Amino acid sequence: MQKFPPMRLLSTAVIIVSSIMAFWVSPSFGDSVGSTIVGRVTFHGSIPPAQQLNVNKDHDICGLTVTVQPLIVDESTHGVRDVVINVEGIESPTVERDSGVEDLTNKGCAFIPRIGVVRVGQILNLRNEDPMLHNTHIRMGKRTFVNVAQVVDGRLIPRLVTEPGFMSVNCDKHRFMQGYLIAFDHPFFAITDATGQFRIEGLPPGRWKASIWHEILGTIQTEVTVPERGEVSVNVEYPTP
Amino acid sequence: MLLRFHFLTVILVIGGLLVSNVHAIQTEPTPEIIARGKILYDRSCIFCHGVQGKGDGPAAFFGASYWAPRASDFTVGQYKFRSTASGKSHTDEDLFRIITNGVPGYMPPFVGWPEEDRWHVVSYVKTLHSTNSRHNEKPLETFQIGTQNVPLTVESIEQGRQVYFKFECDACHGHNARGDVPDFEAQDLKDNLGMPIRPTDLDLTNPYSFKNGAAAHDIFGTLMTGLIGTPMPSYADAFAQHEDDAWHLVHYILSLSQGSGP
Repeated sequence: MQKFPPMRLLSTAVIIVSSIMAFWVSPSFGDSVGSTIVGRVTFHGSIPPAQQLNVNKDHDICGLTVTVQPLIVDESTHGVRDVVINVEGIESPTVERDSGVEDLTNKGCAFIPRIGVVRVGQILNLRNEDPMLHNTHIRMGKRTFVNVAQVVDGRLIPRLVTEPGFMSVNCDKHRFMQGYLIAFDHPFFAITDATGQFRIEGLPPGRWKASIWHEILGTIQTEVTVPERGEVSVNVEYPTP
Repeated sequence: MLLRFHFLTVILVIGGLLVSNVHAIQTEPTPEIIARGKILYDRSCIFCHGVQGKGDGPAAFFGASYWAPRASDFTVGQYKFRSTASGKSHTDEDLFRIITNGVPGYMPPFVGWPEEDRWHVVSYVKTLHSTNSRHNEKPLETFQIGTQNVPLTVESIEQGRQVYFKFECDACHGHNARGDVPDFEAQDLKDNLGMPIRPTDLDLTNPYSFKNGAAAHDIFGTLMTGLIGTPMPSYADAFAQHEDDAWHLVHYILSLSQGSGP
């Protein structure tokens, strides 16, 4: 089961679950596909200034510096982008080969997406859209998931995700390029969109532990009660430091 | 001069094939075989690879504590020098080959040991791996093709030089392939353990820096598999359907050392 890396683990006591609502629907509606969690992760604190990183190579394409802002908060909703939600402890069939495909693209001297989520059994398609060499180097602790050269106009490189875990994504040629890829061995995870919203479907009923991770806001844990049918709304607010 | 160069290079390639193409039969590991492998390991490997195989033996600590490559951590179960795709584990033959040939400048060859003993060590080392890397991987298909079809010619070397720059090998190995990258410090290359990669590690004019072997097919293998745990990526996908270009590049790299391989 995927665990987030040891970071600033915030006590469950500081979690603000602003609303938990279960909308019971008739059994004929929605059939027997389980329940759904929807919600938004918000942050009302001050946003640290973006990081300016020096570019060590290929200045004509990448520029002299790159700007990285890991904490992206929507102005109107205060929703936080790229927060990963993981509902843990649910028995899930092992999938050796999933039909899903996710992309990881080198573009503009950055990884897109910078934070990616994928399920074991899915194919990760590695691309390079820049007019120069990159190497996509993905590591899980001391183990290497893949390290491939991506030459100019090179072909797409597909790789089957075989293990769950938290992976760092780097380009050794351009040390300022950094991303993260999180692989799960179950389907009960999501990543928030630009307004901080997420949606996880097909959950069985029960009381489940959920982990919520953001690159710099840290990890918080909570419990979610999922009814037999319907939709549960869970809004979580990161505490201000 | 040119004739001498060609002659030496051909000898190097053939010699490499003879030395590195190990042919041996592994027997099914039994408790007795593993116990025998442990005795040999404790006698000869423990000083670098450590009691538990974590690459933390006393010789590794004093000899290579501050630079790459450090002695392999067997508990990780991944090896730089192998015949499998990037990110994959290894074949048993990969382990046998490294024990047999050693790593120039770092690990002595154990070619003097009976083959049986080398296989016993392979069997023991595999018991130190994490459970998800004990299986025997399949080598990359390019290795199953066998020998190369591209003749070593001056034209091939020139084509290889063009590939060298087209695929930006100079980004790490430098314009003159001596690790001569102007902003090397800024590049800050490190291995998976955070050990710095030095310019001399990237010097392609010195065949002793070819830790995966300096024979033609060894260099071809390094291009295809990459070196796990280091910044060197696999070019197998880049050379797919253009395998001849890979051999041209091998010829260019061999020409840089004028056939003066170890």
